[in-house]
Amino acid sequence: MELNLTTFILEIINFLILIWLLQRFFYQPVLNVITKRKASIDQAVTEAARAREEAAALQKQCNEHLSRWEHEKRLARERLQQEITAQRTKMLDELYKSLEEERQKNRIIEERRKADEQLKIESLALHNAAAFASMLLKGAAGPELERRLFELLLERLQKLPAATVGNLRANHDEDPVAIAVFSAYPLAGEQRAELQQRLAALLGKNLFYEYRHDPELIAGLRITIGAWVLGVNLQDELQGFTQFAHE
Amino acid sequence: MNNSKRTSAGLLQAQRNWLNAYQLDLRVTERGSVVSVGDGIAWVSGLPSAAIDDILRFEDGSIGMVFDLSRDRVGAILLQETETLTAGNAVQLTGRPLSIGVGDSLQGRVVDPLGRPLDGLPPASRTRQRRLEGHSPRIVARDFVQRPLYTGNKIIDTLIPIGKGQRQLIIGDEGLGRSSLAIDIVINQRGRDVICIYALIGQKRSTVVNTIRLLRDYEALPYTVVVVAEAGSLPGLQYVSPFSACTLAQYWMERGRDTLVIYDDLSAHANTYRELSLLLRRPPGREAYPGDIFYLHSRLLECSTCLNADHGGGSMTALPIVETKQGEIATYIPTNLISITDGQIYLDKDLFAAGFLPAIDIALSVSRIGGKAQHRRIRDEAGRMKLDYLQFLELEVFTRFGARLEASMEAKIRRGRLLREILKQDRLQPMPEKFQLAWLVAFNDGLFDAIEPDDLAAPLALLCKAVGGSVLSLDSERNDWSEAVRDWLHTGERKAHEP
Repeated sequence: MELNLTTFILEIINFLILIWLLQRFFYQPVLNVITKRKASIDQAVTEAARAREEAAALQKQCNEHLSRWEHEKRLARERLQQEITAQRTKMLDELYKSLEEERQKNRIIEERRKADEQLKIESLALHNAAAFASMLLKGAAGPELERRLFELLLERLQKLPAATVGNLRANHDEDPVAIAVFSAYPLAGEQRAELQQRLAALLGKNLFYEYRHDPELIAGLRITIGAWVLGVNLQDELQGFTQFAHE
Repeated sequence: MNNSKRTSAGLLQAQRNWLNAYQLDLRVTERGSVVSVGDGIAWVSGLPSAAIDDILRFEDGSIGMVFDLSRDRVGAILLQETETLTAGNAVQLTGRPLSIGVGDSLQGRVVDPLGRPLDGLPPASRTRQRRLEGHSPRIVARDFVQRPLYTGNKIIDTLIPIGKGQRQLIIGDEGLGRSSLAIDIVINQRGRDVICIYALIGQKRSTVVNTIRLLRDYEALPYTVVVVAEAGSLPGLQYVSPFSACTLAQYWMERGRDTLVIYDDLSAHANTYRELSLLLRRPPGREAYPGDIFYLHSRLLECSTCLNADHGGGSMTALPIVETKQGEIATYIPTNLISITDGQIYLDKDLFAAGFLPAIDIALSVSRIGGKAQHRRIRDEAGRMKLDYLQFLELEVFTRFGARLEASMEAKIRRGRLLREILKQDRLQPMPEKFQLAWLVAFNDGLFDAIEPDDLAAPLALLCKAVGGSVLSLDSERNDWSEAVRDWLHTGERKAHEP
């Protein structure tokens, strides 16, 4: 093949013109486009990076909030639990207190009921004992017992305290009524004389007597001197015994 | 030997001690002689060691109590008098204080102040003697008044509540319904485990008979003891009758039971005490009453209390009744009792004449315990009701002048009139506490606002019937009550309008 220098030079010139044309009308715009694209890509990358950072920051913030809320929730739950526990304790305490009060009430009521029952039984026992003693004494009493009680009366009349004697005398002097002598069995003449002698020694002379028979005495005597009553008899003694049974 | 020592030592132990010290000896005792008898008192000569309140036994079987001591005479009030009691009769000191038999067998019985039966039945068995006028409970034995005593009366249970252990005076003129109110309260205690003691002091026999008949007819007698000292009985018996009632109640209170004592009435009691004091020549004071007339009632009413758990937890509620003249409450005996008691229920003659029954004057009536002895639900609902009602009464005065009022005032007056109509109640128809809550809820929710006051009877009756079959209790939630009441009233309306 023949190499034509002119063609070769013209080809070179053509190529250079082409290069110039490409560079002028193609290379720069493409370069611009590429540059723009690169810039936009860079911007997008930057924005993505920023968004990533923001997201990371938000994530961090969210985690912080979450942990704080978890903490507050835990604290609130603990507080609620404490309040519930305190309320339960308070209500249980009140319940135990009221139960204890009920128990105490029932204990007291039961004690009083038992005391009442005991009292009733004892009262019944005393009634029976008094009734038995009364029946026995009524059956066993006689003139012999009467005589012994009479002697006891005379002996005790001598030993009356001075204050009592003073009261008897003062009362009789103020209102000199007849002295009434009640006896379960009629008194013999000697006994009457002895009694009158003893009473005269206590109260002075000018005494008047009334003798009466009172079988309710069972055995013994009762002497009324104005506002005072002196007695040694089984009826009074039994009444002293039965006073417990009657109350 | 007093009861407390005997109880702690036991009768047998006490007698054993007596036996250990016993010696057959000359007994020197006192003997008196009746100087004069008349008007329920006896003057006795002798008995130099007689003390006040000693019991005397006369040779004819009469019984008296020493009431006055002078240098050469003993004045005694007669508690039992035979026809043969006359001057010259012998008198002896019994050495025992006045006592009455107490025990569960007395429930349902009618007795006199000495415990003797008046109902024709044999004397109550298994009783023990308890001294009248024992000491009132000590302060350390008492508890707060906290539990409600339901009277069955709408006004009292909502606006003037009474608690167990409280003393509430019923005061008003004769014929206004004081005794009726008291009987209604006793009837309402059926099934509530409250033992009632009704003391009729100086009342006519017809009143006594009517009271007992009513209690029997309404099945209240089985848990009630009626202590009767009629107007024609000895003044001495009328004097001790409230103390007998109090003693009976104290026995049960100390055994953990709730009791209700009604003293009907203490005006007659005060008059009797004045009569006895004047006859026995005690120095008269104001209005010729003796100087210790206040102490007479204060020591009686101080026994009413609520005991704490350490002492059995029982209670004694007292409802003393006192009569006023012409509505005057500022006289001697009523003011005494008002100052002693924990509140009063005042019955007004104008309300009675206007047909407002029971004629309780809400403005002058008060309960010093108040809401503390009220169930919390009823207390919450009743709340301001008393105040609102009193405001309504003041506002209503303006309507009489024909004045035109604001809409809000008209509304208040309308609601006040509704409330006034609701609070009326027939005799012998006590209402349960559930019904009290029901009508309160209905009223506060405005369910009666559309009803005319004259037409309230039917819905109230419907409410009462529905409440009886309801499972709701006082502790149920307010919303549940509200719904239930609404349903009951609407169901009733529907049925009323059905052909």
